[in-house]
Amino acid sequence: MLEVCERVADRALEHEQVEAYGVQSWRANVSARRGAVESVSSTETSGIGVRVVSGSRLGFASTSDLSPDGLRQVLADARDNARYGTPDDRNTLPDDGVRDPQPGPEPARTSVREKLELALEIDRLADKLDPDVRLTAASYWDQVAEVSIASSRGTRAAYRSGTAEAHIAAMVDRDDGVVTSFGYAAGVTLADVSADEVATTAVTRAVQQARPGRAATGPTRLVLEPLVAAELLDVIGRALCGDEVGRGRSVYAGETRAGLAAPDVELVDDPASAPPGWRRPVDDEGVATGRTVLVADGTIRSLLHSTSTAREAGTGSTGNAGRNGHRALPAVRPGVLTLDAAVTPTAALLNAADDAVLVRELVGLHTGVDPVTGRIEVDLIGMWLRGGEPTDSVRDTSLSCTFAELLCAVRATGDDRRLYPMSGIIGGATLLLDGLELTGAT
Amino acid sequence: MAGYGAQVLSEGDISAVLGEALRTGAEWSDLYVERRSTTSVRVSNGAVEQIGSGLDVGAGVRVVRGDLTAYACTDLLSRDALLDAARAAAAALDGTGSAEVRDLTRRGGPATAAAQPDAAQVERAAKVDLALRCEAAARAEPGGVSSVSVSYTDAHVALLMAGSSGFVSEDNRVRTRLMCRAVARADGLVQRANDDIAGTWGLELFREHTPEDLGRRVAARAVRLLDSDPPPTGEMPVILAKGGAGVFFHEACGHGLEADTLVLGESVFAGRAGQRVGSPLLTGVDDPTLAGGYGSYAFDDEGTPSTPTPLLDQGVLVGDLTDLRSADALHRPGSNGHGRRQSYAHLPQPRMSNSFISPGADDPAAILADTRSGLFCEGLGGGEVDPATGEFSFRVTEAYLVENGELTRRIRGAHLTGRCLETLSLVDAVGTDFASSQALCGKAGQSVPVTYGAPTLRARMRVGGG
Repeated sequence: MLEVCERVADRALEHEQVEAYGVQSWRANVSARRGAVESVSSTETSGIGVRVVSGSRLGFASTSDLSPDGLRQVLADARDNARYGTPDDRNTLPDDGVRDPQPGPEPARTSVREKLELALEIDRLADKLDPDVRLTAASYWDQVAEVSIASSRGTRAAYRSGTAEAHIAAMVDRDDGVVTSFGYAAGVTLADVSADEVATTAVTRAVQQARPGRAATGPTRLVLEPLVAAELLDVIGRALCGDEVGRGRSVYAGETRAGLAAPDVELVDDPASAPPGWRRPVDDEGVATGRTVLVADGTIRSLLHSTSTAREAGTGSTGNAGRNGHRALPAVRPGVLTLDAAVTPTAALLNAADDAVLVRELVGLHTGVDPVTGRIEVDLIGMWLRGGEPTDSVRDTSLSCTFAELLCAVRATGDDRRLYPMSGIIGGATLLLDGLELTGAT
Repeated sequence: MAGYGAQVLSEGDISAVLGEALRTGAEWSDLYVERRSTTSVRVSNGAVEQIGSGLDVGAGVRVVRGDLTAYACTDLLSRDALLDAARAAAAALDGTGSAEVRDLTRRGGPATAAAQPDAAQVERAAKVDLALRCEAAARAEPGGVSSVSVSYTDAHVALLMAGSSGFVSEDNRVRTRLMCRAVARADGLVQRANDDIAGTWGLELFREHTPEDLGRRVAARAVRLLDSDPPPTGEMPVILAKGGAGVFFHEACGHGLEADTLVLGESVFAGRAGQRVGSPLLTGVDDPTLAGGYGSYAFDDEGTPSTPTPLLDQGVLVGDLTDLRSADALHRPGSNGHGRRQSYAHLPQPRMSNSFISPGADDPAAILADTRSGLFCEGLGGGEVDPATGEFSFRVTEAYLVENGELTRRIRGAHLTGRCLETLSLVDAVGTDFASSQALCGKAGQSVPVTYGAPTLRARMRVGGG
């Protein structure tokens, strides 16, 4: 694919910048239910996206047609589109792109048989744990992708990535309705995904959630499970991206105040904290990735930037250009984002959290956590904790706060950090929060 | 065959691919071929920031035996590539084939209005102009607009679908959307608003709904929300204004009637066909044949002709939304044409298209006057629902406190939660008015365009936020 990209980039005219971004990906999705395979799906796709900067006007075109005619046409379309763009000095390709492609090791590929065995194992284990619990299909899906980037400014970059995920949901019937929960695990390859963890988490949680429940009201100590912590950090991370801030679509636009987080909370984007396959050597315009401290001592230290947003902000790219495949222009997104605070062994953290609410799911996450207003309006699904153990379920309880109130409430993180594929790779560890106000149904 | 399919595949090619897929014992096989060309424009703060175009072609072959489905796809449309995809799908089965491909017959579908003019044939300058006009109108709105972003997208999709049961269906879809987002700031408070104009039309979409109206409407809402209060919390009467109430129907009812969840008992509506599941004031339908609807199509993505499907009749559950697999599992004679997919890289699943609650008998003004205290929701944003539990959550984009039958304080940041069956039964007023809106609806990793509409209605719900 790099060769294809080079052929396009090398056709740049004088006074014109051309970049070709190619992706080849292999995806598979399997599911099993009640001991039998339910579905098997495999997809192999490839395509190329071409950026043309002509006199500071930007044009873009993409195609899945990689024939010589297709490549000629996509470049012509990108040039033609550039005629309609507004001249803007931010429109430029990086001149500091990597020139020696080191794509890294290819994530291990697995056979359809291995994928099916994992899904069947999740289904079998979950069913064995509690035959009275109803189960959805056990699903497993993975993707391996190879990205290549070549530009007329000399960039020659490539990386390989992989993602493997598995899920099952469990349902418990009660007199007043159904209670559901789920198990989920993710990693770079199938070997990173534990069937036992997915099955046990789904069934154990569903059974616990079916216990009698009560609402929580007033200031309450909260313990967020790692996935919940990661989901919130994912949205906060989006608000720290230079493109959203530059367009005024972030609560952090123009924000210079202190007190945005507890003093010992650090938000850090650092690819080195992820394993190969999630640790990309370059971003999606070929700029080397690196460590960026976003929030420390309660203030914003830096934003995440691509070449374009960095130019607008008068700084350098942080290597955080990201694309949704070959059909999209680069935006800004986290590479590997984590929240660091005082680390406590998770077991000790849970033991100390007496009369606290353990949050396992957020209802309304996609509409109720807003990077523009910086508000969090969600309902909580979880358990009351007594002596570190879940007792009653939490019902009809809402959390309403700002990003700053949430980050200022952080007291400690557990030592159980996991990484999840979201808008970037997002880290989540058990998170202890104090002082947030909950509203329970009356 | 006369359309796009004939340009890339002969009838012999199609039969050969479907036949190859049957070799390992599948009961039936089908083929989905797609060519998608797109244009996108993004305008922000007076500048054309992005303009792009795209071309994607691809095809997928599916085989089905009993409860097992296997699917493989390719972005090469040669006979050999499609035969390889057929073999890849068939490899998931381990039997020998006895089913055969029947003679292919071209299916007729409902007549759909052709986009005039077809967006694919319109000069890009005209599309850029639409976005610029919308953005300028929004930015000119007084009162604190700090940021405006407008995106224009169109897609022209040519489809061929064929099945070993002996059919070929072809569909051409033109979808156009203009979306405006505005942010307003004052005294440290940030509020945002967004809305769109969208449909299965070309640029004639903008004859009735002008880009300027869209821009002004969105910006004015963002500005209004700067002068607002946090919501009251707790359970109370909630009036959903016309249009926004469609989101409620879509989430609280529609998703739970997508038949894949019914088949497996993963919906609160499972086993309730013919029973009363809501207020007798509620009658609802899903109609993919609606002229210009954002979710409209002549054939669904399995080649089944589209048809309106009644869902609720005076509160009684009378229908659900099926694709081929779920219809078979429910022992129906066939799908009712709701198998949809995001692209050739995805398997179809039962989905809504254009879903509506029919207007009722109550004067909308009387509904308000009759409400002693509660919340009037002018608009609902996105929402989500767990079909198994029926628990839903919606974001309210703009609301007003109701006191003694009148709108008083403007409210921001409210969200509504509840349980479908309980809330549907608590609807106690349905207006004579009606409005609709449109969105991209997500399910199991796939997004498809939909429309939803409703009259003003009132029910008790739980209000949170602040």
